Amino acid sequence: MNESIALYRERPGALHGRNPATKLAAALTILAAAFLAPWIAAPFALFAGIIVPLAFAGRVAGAFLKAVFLLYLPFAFFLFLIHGLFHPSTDAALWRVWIFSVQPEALRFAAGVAGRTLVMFSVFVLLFLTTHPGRLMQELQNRGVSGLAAYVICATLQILPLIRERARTIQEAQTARGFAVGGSVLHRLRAVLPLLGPLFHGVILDVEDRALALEARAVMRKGKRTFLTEIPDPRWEKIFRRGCLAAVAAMAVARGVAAWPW
Amino acid sequence: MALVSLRGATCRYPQNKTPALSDLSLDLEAGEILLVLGASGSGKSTLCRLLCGFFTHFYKGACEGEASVCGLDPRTAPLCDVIQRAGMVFQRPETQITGARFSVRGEIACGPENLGLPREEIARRVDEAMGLTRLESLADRSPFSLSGGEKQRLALASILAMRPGLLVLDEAASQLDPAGENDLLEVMRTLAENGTALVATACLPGKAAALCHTLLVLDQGRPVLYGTPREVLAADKTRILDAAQTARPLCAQAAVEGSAMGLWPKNAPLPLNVEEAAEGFQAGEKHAF
Repeated sequence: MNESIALYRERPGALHGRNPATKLAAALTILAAAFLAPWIAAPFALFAGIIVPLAFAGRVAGAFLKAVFLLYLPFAFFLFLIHGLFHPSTDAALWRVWIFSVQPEALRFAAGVAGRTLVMFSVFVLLFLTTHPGRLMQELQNRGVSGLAAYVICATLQILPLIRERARTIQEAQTARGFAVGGSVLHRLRAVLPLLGPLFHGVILDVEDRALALEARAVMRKGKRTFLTEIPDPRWEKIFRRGCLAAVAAMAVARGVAAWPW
Repeated sequence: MALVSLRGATCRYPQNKTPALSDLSLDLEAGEILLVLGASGSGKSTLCRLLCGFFTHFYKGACEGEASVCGLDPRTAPLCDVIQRAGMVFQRPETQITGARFSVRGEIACGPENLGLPREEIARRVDEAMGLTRLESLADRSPFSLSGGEKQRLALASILAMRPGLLVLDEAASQLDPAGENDLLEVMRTLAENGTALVATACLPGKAAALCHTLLVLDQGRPVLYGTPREVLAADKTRILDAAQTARPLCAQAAVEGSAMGLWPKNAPLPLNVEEAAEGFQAGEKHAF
């Protein structure tokens, strides 16, 4: 049985009960702040000062930090490796060996990209950890997003757990036939190859079945929709969203003014 | 005119010269159940797709002949109109969950919500569909936490909530346990009594043979037998049934074998369920002694 739905974790946290539009607005505002702030340290400060405390408030800190470390850190490592050693900067090198050199400008560039991608990745991980895809889709449809677009978003969120579930089934079947899937890293890598064919074939078949099932439920129908349940949207959340919009506008103006050639 | 009518329907998938369905004609009235039998690749799923509009709209197939489903031509009418009249339940329960709602109740409501029905009407339909499929106790569970049989009942309830005039079940019982199959047959019986037309496909007739009004046997896309269950499963049709790689229900097959041994009354109709078989064999026994 597959009880997991995308990244979502059901918890009695402070974020779960909030309207998905409010959480989306907050995520986009933090993201805008990370991109518009002129300081390299700003995205890291946003991560440590706002996003991580929010993950604790939402009671998803464990899953959040695990996802960030497992998926983001390898990316950051290669980012610093590539830019740190091969960036075409003309700065004086801090350190140089053969064709490799480490320059302050290159490191600053890598840190800037790493900070922004950290915020981008982590806000959306937090959003999807605390927002049921169905709730998000309902809210998006309520706000005029087409059914097709909303389902594409939802299907994207669900594809990873479904692939994981199918891969596990195939691997169990292969193990039952005496196929060794454990052992050293090399052994495990070898075991992945025979998994790929049936996995992708199965996923493609799943997609066809799923698309038909969605068509059978009138997902592609144009026109107004009504919903059995209503997602609460208290007044303060509406005000908060307007505040987010104003904050993004203010940041954009401030950045524009600072960059203007006076 | 019948609720469902096909005349000389011949269907081809794109880039496939061999028709998946050849020269098929059938009629189905409201409240009738048609059971379609045949081996894998015999055209059962193509027939289901044709009736629900998917064959031309989704698979982009070409279909000659005449077709009418609940007053619409499923090949040319907008798919959204066809699916409101002809609902389809598929073979694999896992892939029929949209994942777009967080409870069984929400999942069932998904179809009527997309139709833009008033909230009270959606609630009424959801309750009715849950009652028919006995899902009330699971109403607040996550659809992903259900067993295979429960998921299939959920898929059925989700389509029933759209209140189609024709319900198409494409091997919907193939992954169910005997209790789940019995539940499904009971729902089919209730729906037929309430006026819904049903088309169910299977490789073997099983218990559904006793429930259906008409039986159609397909062999490589061609209709080879069409009639009442007793006509289609009669003793003289063995060769055709064998060629189509299908079989009679066990009780009917026992009667055919018993007839050759003098245990089943000559010229007596074949039994379609255990009760009829028991009665027939008792009569045959009296006759023999």
